[in-house]
Amino acid sequence: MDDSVWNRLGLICSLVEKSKGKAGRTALMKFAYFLKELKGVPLDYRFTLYTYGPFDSRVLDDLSYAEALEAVVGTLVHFSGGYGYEYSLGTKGDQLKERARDFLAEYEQEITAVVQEFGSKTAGELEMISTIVYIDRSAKERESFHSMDELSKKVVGVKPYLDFEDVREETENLHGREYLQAVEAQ
Amino acid sequence: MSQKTFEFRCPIYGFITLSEWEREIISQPAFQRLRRIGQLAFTNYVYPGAMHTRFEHSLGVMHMATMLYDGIVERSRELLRSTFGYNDEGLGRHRALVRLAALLHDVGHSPFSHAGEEIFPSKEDSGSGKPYSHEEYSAAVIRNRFADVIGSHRANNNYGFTADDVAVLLEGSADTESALFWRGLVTSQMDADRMDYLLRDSHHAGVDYGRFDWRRLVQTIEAVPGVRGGSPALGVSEGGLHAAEGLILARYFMFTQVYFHKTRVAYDHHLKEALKEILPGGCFPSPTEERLDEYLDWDDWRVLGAVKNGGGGEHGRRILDRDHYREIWHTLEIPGPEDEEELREQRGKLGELLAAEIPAKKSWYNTGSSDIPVFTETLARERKPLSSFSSVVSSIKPIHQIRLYVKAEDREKANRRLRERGSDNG
Repeated sequence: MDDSVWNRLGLICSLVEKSKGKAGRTALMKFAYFLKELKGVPLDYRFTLYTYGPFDSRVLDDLSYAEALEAVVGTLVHFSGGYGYEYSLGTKGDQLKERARDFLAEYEQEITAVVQEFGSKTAGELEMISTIVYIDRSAKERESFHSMDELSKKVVGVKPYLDFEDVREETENLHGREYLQAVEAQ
Repeated sequence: MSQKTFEFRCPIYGFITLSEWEREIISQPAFQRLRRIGQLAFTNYVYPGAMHTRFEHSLGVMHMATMLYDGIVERSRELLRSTFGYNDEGLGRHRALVRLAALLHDVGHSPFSHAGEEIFPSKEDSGSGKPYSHEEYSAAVIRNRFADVIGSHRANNNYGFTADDVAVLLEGSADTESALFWRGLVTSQMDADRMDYLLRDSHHAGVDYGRFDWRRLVQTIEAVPGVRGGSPALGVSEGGLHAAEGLILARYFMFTQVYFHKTRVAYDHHLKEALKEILPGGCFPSPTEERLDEYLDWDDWRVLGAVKNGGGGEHGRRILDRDHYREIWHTLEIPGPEDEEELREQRGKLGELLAAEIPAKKSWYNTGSSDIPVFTETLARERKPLSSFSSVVSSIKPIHQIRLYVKAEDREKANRRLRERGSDNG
């Protein structure tokens, strides 16, 4: 029971609260990824790529823990073609936030920014955006650089059901916000 | 001309068939090393039959992954074609790739499997300071020790694979391209690795906790369409719902009854500490090309030899003499912030008698993007998460227990201290 566990649980409560009951599990996974990769928040997660984007089961482990402590509550909701969960703060949510008070205060700006920037995206959009970022970061790690077209093609290579133009547009958007690190100057 | 095949006896599936190419792969020294890596470390100190190795598990994962793959293709051919563009040739190619990835997924394991992982070195070069994972070791071993046998075998003229194709599928990298969909067969909540280890560990340990209706899963697994622009996923038709439930429960029972057994985890602790004494520098060599031979030279036999010869220090002696630490107190399975005070109090009471603090942490089932999708059998065929069907699965709480251990010779004294109210022997 070290501080890092409580900080991660507090973060989940904070993300759920700021999302005003609209965050599903996919969104929380991607928020954690964006906080780590785009905002530099030190989170001890190790994301790898799946068809549904960057994923680390430990994010969901933490969410399950928070749920078991009644800090967050999941509700099953129906949407077109399927079902999913949406989360709201539970009776112990404030207690966990209090336990992580210093961490949450330090990264308040980053947490708010991620929810504001990505909170209204659908699960499909979050998958696409996070996959673009993941592939870009992987290239940067290997010191390999790409154009926006090349990056978009790689994303469609992994997710052939996506439209290239949609991916290209989102890549340009992310590049414009200086979120990409391996895109070569045009 | 089709390749010659070879059959291997398996206590779980009867026979496992390998192609000539695959047999050459398992003949490589880096794969044969898995015969000398126990699947469950010192679990045999509690369950004497648990003496099996990563070698037979690896063959089993390949076999299970193939059955699952064939089941998915049989039921979801049209979805796979329309979503990923797979034709018959592409499906045959991916089948071969999945088999190789499943076969080689554990080649990077350290001696005594997961027990040895805690002393992997940190990735100082990447600046993250995080330790390497056994998956990263496996990817490095595949790239450096299997490149030739994968790339140059004549059977590969049909596929054109490189060792890198196998490694990136295990790592989860963009270079996997559309094969990424199949990664879920090797690592997910319903993967072949998990299914095989539950069945196999259960069989060898002599318990029934890990058994589930895997044949029904093979009969009902399919690719389920994505929703709201999301990715398709590996799931089951509604008829496989209870078999999927059985898989989750089997894992829960195996962890609580076998993997997290209080004595077993005590031996993991002794092993980790003994390894720190035995290994130069106190940790395994990193999975870099220059140090890979040095790493692969470590197996259970070499470690046991060192322990037998006294190289494992005090913890090695405890392993030899079966003189393991004893659990004296533990937190609730799901401790909250309010329980921290009690933990601090117990630590304080034990003081210098506290020999080790060992966590037991695991979530049994995660919902969300990794929730196993169930494809309903109604006319409108909808995708619903397994957790929404199953009150059993959705009710299983994760475990985050902290256990305090003392030396066997201190047990009585420690018990007395814990019974004292409000004292501080720290």
